[in-house]
Amino acid sequence: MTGPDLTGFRGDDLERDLATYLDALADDLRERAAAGEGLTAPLRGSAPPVDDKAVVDLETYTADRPRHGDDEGASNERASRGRRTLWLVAASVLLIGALAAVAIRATQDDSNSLPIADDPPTSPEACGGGYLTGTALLAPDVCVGTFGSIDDAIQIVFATSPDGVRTLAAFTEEGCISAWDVGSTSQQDPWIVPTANRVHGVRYVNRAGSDVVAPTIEVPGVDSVRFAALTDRPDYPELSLVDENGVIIGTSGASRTPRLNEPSVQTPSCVGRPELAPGQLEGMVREVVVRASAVLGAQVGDACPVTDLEVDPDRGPAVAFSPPGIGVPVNDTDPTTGECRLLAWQVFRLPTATYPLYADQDGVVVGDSRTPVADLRAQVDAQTSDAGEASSTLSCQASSAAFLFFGVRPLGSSDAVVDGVDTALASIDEWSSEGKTWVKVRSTDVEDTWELRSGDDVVATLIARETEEGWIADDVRFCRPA
Amino acid sequence: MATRQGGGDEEGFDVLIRAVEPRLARAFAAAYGRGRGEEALGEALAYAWEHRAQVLAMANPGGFLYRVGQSRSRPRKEVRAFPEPAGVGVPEVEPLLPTAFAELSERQRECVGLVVADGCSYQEAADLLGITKASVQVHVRRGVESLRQRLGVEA
Repeated sequence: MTGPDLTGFRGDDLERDLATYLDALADDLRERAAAGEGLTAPLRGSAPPVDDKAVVDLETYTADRPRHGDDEGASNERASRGRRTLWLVAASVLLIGALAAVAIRATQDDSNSLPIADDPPTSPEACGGGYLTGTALLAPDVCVGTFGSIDDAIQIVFATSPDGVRTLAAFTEEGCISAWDVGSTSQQDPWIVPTANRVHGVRYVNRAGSDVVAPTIEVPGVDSVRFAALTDRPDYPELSLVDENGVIIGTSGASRTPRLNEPSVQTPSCVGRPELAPGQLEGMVREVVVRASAVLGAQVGDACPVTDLEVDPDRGPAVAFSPPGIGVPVNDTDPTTGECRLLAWQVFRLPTATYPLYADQDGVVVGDSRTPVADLRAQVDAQTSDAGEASSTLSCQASSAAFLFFGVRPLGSSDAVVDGVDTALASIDEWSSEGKTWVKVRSTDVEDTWELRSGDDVVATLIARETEEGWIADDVRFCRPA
Repeated sequence: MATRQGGGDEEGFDVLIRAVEPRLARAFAAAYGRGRGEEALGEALAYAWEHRAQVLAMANPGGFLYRVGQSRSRPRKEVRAFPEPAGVGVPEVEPLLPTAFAELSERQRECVGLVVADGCSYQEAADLLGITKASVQVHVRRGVESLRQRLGVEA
């Protein structure tokens, strides 16, 4: 039938035509979905091979990206890159026709951009901890919040759907998506901790390995989140959003699956180097006041031992803390409440470790993803021999596997007596006992700095000092030998 | 996006999709046509993949995914949600049919599309759409009557 033929149209023909037409329309719909119809032409055919690894291109976050006000070509390139990024993310996850859905969702808007509400409601309680902004990004039953921006240009939006699925999206100043990520709180996706949506800033490392720190941002209506950090490998960017207590509340990109023997930092420089001037660090605290209590089971204002803050035994603590014997430097301890804050975080992985270690801005290891560093303890026993010679023995106890590979030698005291070990690598069997690892060194000085060396990979420096409460190891620093 | 679910679900997922996807596509095509239909189908499949373990355990995954597609797609003004037959490769179909079909209610399009065009039983359509079998019957009857009236087709 090539034209209207109303007189000849009979019931059977109507059904047949209807079936034929809807079959064809369904096929068309399916093909368009699979082909990513609606994406701009340059993107079609440029999708990377489907991979089950999530890759978030954070290049658009970099500080040297084109700025607002660039020429039209640059603007188009930015938009194109944003869409391409979106495509990368989508392609990494969805295997079949689902691949195109995400892209379509983000690109079918008439303007090919996703506007953010200018004045989103600021009540986190409005919808399960999120915000309703009316953005076109997600379905109406999804709560969306704007949590901050990078360089006042890229907006970070965090969304929580009623079933717990979270979407993290970054928007350029033009409103185009530059990166996004989805995770859930299900047990299959354990890398997002379901806690209050509190993000203040974003720190990330781009693919080139350069380190970019976004400004801390105060978000109206959001309570006291100081910093958001990134875990990263240069070739595998991960964006982690961390609340004030260091609880990772969202991670983009790859999962936090440990990567055994894969160095996370390629540069020979130290990791965990200060990002703030040392003069900004004042005081030493032994515990962290919990304010983000949604997951941790503590009440706001509670001062609880950090060892109580474990979130999930399978995942390990998602919070760094001040373990006994290792102080966390802070710059603004509240004398009335004892509240402290971690100013910054470094997250890195040791080549010999199977999980990340967290260090503060001074390189102090304050936690790892699995084992509380609270189990890293040091004792120094001062002794005086019958001949009157003073000596000390430093015992370092750690349950962190990272330390199992460390040999020990004293730093700066060539005449020191090392308890059976001298720059040698220790094996697990040699150094573990009942799940604990003990490293002992002995020096003629009662206060010294010790260097724990792991072959050619990482040097850990343990600094012990005597206090009124006895000897503590108050600083452990890791860095790579130059 | 990081979905790190168990790896043993892929095969079951493929089977599920092969069984469910054609009917989903036809239902979304009938309900929304192009545009939102594509989006709804894509969203439904995306959700199915991301939550495949959960979806595979469902008694009525098709119905669930249909509602996922409905809720996750955005209503929109499509200029030609139901294109001319020639536009989808079937020029032999009555050219006025898409317009007449588009003028049915969304529910009527769903039911007519599934029962009349796809050959679903009333119960199958009811399961997919999450409505009662009696409702499907009513919508099909009224939808077909409306189509015949609009197209001047004798019963």
